[in-house]
Amino acid sequence: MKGMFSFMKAVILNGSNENENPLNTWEKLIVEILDNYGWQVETVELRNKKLATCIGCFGCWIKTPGECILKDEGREICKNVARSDLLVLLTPLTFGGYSFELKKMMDRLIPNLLPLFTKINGEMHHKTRYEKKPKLLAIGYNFQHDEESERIFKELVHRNALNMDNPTSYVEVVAGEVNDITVGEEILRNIEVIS
Amino acid sequence: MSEISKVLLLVGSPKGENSVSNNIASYILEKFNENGVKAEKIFIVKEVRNDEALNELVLQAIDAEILILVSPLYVDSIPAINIKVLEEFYKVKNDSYNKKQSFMTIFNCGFPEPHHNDLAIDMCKKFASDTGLKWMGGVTIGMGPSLEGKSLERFRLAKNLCTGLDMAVDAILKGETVPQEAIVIASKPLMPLTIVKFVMCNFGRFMWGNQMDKSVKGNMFDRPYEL
Repeated sequence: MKGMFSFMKAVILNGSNENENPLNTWEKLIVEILDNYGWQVETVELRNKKLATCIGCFGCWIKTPGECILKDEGREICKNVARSDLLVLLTPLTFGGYSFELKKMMDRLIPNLLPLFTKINGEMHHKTRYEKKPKLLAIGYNFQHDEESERIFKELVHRNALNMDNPTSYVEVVAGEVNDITVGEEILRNIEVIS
Repeated sequence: MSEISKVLLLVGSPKGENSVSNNIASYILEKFNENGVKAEKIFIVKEVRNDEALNELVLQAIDAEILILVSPLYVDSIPAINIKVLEEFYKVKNDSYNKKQSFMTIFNCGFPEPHHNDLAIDMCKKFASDTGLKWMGGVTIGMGPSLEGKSLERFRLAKNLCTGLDMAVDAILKGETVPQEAIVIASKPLMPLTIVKFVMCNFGRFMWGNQMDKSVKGNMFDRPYEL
């Protein structure tokens, strides 16, 4: 299997808030699976990064087009996402959305969009800056099953994929007691579909 | 005289005082103050820079009887700084608190269609449910930037927004639930969507081009990360 996708790049943004979280185990699983398929993988454990939050200045559109004006690691991560073939999001479900740790980076991906608008299914969205867009795989963890949180999360990933124009998006929610083997099989199935 | 003791407006824009969210919050604050109710306004962006200030903000939020978050929409959702506050509030509230509180949100986005804000409102509603706050509803505003630097009262396009917000404040002052009608009126598009979409799609390049720094005029489509 190795070598088949040797030019494919994946970026994993891990939005786990703590060291002890199933998401960290799954991150390792995903790296292993992707590596086995020959992908180049960059993992970003966001809780260990000193990233500023977006200041909403639009500088990335009108002052330094395509680059955030904040000079921290967010720039490098944004660059790697722009160059990737697959973006993996890992997050604990936070009122149905992303955790603070993940959202602070998601807000910083705006430089990869243009300020201009286009209509998709009659609805306004931003145009993308680059022709190449990564596929999107989002995995959310909830400590207990909650239908509303899961609905919000799936819809959020769908909306993000529309706005970032990801060619395809996959979303999984794992809730309650975790069986890493089952989760691993599910992740493997998703990655096989993506590949 | 209203029996409401304390209203706290959280301005959730990272742009702080120079934001549309502040404009809207100021309008609401004024309405409460006119009616003799103590209302305060806090800029989240100023308070999330260190743990101590964040903790103080959360304690103030927990102490309010009516909590109103006014925020822009970032990437289909709640801006990161506001999520930080909600996460901390959830931790503290669940640990120690049992006071009757109500929560309302107002989101604005740059897209013309107000419904882009719906998911952010759903998240806030979920937050209210998870923390035991009484949910009062969420107003969604499209074309947010058109409200920048303007007095809502004097801005003709904001007439429905003001009417809806007035109705919401009146209901809160009487200790009643915010009527759905107030939410619907306040959330009406500022202009007919067909016209706005046509203008934004066809003249966006010109409008944004005018805002670009002189040194990068003509570089709007740069691709600094392209291989």
